Amino acid sequence: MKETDALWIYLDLRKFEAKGYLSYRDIVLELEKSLQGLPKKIKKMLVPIKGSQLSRS
Amino acid sequence: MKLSWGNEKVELSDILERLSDISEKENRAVIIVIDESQELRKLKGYNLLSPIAYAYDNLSTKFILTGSEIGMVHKFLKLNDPKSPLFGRAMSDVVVKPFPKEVALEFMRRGFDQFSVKVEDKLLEEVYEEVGGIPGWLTYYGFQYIQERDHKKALAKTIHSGVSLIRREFNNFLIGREVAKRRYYTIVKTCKKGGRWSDIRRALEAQEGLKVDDKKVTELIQNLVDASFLVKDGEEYRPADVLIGQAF
Repeated sequence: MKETDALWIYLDLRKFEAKGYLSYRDIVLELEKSLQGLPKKIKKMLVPIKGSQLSRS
Repeated sequence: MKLSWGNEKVELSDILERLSDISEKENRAVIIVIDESQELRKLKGYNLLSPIAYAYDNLSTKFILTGSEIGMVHKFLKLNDPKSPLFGRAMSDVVVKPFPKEVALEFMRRGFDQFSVKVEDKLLEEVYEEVGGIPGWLTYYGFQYIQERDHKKALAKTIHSGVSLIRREFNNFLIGREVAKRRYYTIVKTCKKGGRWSDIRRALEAQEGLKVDDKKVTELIQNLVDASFLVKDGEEYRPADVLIGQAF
């Protein structure tokens, strides 16, 4: 498997440093944001997952 | 792409499974980086360790967890807790320590070389003495120097920014620990120039006029070590870097 051509998914949790707690929603939204950066082809491959949909834009 | 967290909520293990399939189909590694991952300790109502353990055991997705508070990252992962989903799983630690003096000086020299700027070694030594060897602060000093062309101003700005950031991080550390706020301040102040466990207990007891439980003293110190505010150096606890010492 090629690591030089890897698909990187980056979750930046710094913005939660001043928060007292995190919820499942926070993690899902952060993941959603990081998945936007994946190639369209890859995002299409993810969409059959329950609870996901591709944006129209 | 939209993910739902409501009634039809997406399951993280489904996403990890699909990413693993994609990884194998496309012959491309999938690497999930979680920066400042110690924040995950604050996650309520969901155990993220279970999908991570599932991915570790069954999938080809890889995880990199980074954090400025490495002890807290370990506390979140619970690798040594038999009840934890990740118990006994192997992982590699990459610890980036502050540069020692010579490396820090060379780092700054090379940075200034890129701008064809020559700064006297005695000034760079002063920066190391005041700021320590964290590459981010050395870079910040270099940036300020290039802007101002004034060593004193650049150094003062670096110290001011560093101390402000540390105080903000300390306030964040105290969220959920408000009851022990005074105790934590007493400990970091006692350890400003280095302090033994017994010095810390004495300082806490002097402040409160009461005997403080030994286990509690150890727990409070350990929390500060886990959050990278203090380090253990032989028998003494010290600020983890020079600027932390200046912040209290």
